[in-house]
Amino acid sequence: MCVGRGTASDSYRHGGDVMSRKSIGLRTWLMQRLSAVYMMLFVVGFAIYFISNTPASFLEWRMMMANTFVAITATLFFLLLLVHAWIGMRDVIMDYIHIDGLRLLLLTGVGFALLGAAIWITKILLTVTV
Amino acid sequence: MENKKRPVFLDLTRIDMPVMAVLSVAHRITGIVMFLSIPAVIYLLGLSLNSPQGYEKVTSLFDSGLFRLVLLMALWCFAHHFFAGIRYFMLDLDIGVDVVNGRKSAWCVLGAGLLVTVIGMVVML
Repeated sequence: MCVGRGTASDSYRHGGDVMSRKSIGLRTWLMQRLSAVYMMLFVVGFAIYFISNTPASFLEWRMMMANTFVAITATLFFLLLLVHAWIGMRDVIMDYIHIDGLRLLLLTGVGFALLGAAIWITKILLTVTV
Repeated sequence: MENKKRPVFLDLTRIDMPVMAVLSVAHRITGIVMFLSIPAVIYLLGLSLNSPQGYEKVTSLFDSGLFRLVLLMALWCFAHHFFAGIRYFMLDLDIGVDVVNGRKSAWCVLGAGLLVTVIGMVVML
């Protein structure tokens, strides 16, 4: 296993002397893959479910999404998607943006945008009632 | 550790880009595109669940050719990212790490992404 075959940003941060922070790169690496596995399973599962029970009206669509199992698995899907997006965007920004101020600004902006998206989607998916 | 005098050669038009490199770049680009489309997806999902009028609005979007085109591009981005992700899982498990197999699997990812997009196109037409 090539655990932690990292992105450039990981290797910048763990360049030798900061051994104590070594596990941070490993944790994000693992989180990126665990979230990917869940998303793959959800997307395939939901696609099959949606195609075999395609809702034909607003009410049917709402009923589908109000189902507790669907609501919870879908919310988890979006929250993991946002975590996945955070790790991906963080890696890309840290690889290409080398001006400290701009890097901080972009990381902060992306972070708050994703946090806002998390609240927004959770509110939508967990308040669907029939 | 930092050697500022290391030669840097980043002329993208002259760097040899094997298919695996193209795949890696595409994985990042599709990821960024999907990140940027998150607000639109959440907005449309919320609109469709909010009221019958909102639902009608969202479903009527599918009549628009432009919207279908955007949807197909999104499907391509997603499918590419999905299959490239599976390939990275395999590399993590030391499957197909050598050049010959790495090249083969990269072509498979490109093909699979396009195949899903074509299927989507056929379904939509």
